[in-house]
Amino acid sequence: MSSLEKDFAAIDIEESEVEQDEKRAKVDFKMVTFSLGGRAYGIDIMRVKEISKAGRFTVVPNTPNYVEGVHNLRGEIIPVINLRRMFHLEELTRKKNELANVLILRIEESIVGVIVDRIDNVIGLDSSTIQPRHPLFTDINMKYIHGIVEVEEKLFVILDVEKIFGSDRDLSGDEIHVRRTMGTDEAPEKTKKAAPLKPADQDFQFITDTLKTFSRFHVDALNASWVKQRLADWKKIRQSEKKDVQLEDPEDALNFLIPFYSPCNGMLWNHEYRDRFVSLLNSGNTSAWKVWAVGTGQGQEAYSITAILKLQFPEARIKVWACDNDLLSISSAPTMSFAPEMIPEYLEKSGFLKESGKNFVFGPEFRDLLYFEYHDARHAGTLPELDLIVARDLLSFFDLHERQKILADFTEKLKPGGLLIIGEHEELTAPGWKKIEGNHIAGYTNEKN
Amino acid sequence: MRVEYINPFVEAAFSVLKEVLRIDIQRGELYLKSVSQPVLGVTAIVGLAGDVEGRVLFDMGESTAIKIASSMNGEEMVKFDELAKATITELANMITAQAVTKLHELGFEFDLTPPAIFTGDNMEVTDTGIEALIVPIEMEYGKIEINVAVREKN
Repeated sequence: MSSLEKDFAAIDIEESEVEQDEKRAKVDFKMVTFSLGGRAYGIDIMRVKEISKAGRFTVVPNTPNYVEGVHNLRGEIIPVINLRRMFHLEELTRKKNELANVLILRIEESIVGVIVDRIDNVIGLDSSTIQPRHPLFTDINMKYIHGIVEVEEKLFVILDVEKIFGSDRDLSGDEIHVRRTMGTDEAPEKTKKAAPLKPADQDFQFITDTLKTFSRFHVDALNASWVKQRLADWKKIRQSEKKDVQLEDPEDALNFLIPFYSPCNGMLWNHEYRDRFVSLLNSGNTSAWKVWAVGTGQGQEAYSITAILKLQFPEARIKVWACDNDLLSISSAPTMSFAPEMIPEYLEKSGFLKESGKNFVFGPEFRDLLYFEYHDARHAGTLPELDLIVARDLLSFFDLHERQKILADFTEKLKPGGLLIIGEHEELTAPGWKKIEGNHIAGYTNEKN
Repeated sequence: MRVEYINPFVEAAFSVLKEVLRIDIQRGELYLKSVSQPVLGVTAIVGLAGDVEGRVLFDMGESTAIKIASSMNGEEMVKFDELAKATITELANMITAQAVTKLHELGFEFDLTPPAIFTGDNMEVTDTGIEALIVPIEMEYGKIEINVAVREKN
């Protein structure tokens, strides 16, 4: 107890120092700051009951892996969560008798302990200086962040602990509903109150983890709503097949992702998709189209885009750079041939395709409009200023850091007001991009000046 | 890098090395790199101009370079001297020239610059704004990494 009091005393001193520094500034928000994996975070002081050092937690079986165990806090049994593990950061190994730094939080009616690397101090600030959360700032899922604030040139990510640990975690109601009506033999009613996490949450977390491991598919704001919906369907399918909901191998992950891909993936675009694409094109621009098709696979997408643009804007100067980082796929792209039944009618009549044996290939003049490149989107490259970037189902396969880099690259290469097309089931929330409403193809404009 | 450019370089490297060294040669998996990369010790560079701009690096360890030079000159060399340097330079020239000839046949106009050779320890090469295709080649003399960075002139 006495050590606790000392800790509090220490915090009080630091608090008053900080307050003096910012005497003139309005202070209406105080946060307890701590570090985790080299980054600084803050939690609203109103949520922090106390801080403590503790070790030797009692392990509880059948809990999510980030639950370190339970801790006896003066007779009250509280769950203790390892925040590094929860946020998928590299774990620190504690020595045998070393005590962990624990923040004791009061969330709704329950009390939760959270293990962090180091508890720093209390900082008072003007709540109007808190910037809204931004998906690019941190490797933690955006929905868990309350905001970002800069204090003395140091950036703090303020966590929304209610969202993280509260019983009202941000999940679509449907999913929970599905889980209940299915009547699993785990009696979800019982676990509901006891654990701070619902089973549906665990499934979602598990799917997120396994998709990353097996398919390098990163679940976050970009695609989370699709993943949640798909998970609900997936549960029904797996139940009828009497299989476990969880993804057990890369094949499961592939199957899970089948509906993720945008229409006409790996084939020449059909009439319907062509019309949706055309409705997105600004008909004011007719003189030149410089296009970058990123992650184009074997090239059907790039051929379709080039042909549709050429038919739509016969007078325009068209140039399409199409790249992929799969050498085998992209190598076969320049010489790809198409069976007659694979060719949609608008292309049949276009005259772009020439007979070659039983199949058809695109003629040389048409192929001159297209450059196929072996290129990794994460790497630097030079292209002229572009009118259109097509990156369907690409960003989900890169982690947040890589995605940030790629999007910055897109912003730089695309003309102001230029068009970016991403996957059908992806949603871009990054600033600087404006969704084009009313279309069923996911188009965004570049808002840079 | 345009896919049409890849094969000429891979084929030229393979056929020239096989012809001049008359030993077994294996090609490793091709890949792309864009960050700065360490250089093994001996590096010959040939510049490309014309429809494109870029360069080809032939990167190998000194002992590999000496073994190759010995084999090409038909005499045992112990030091990486002037003759050895000239030999490696010539090898780089032969491979690049053959690749460029193949590219000419495909309708691409490439010109070569005279080769140069760098030697030394702890060297690094950095390209900005361009990624490099790495063609690793393995043989009993050691490893050669052919590093091609070419881009279209816009």
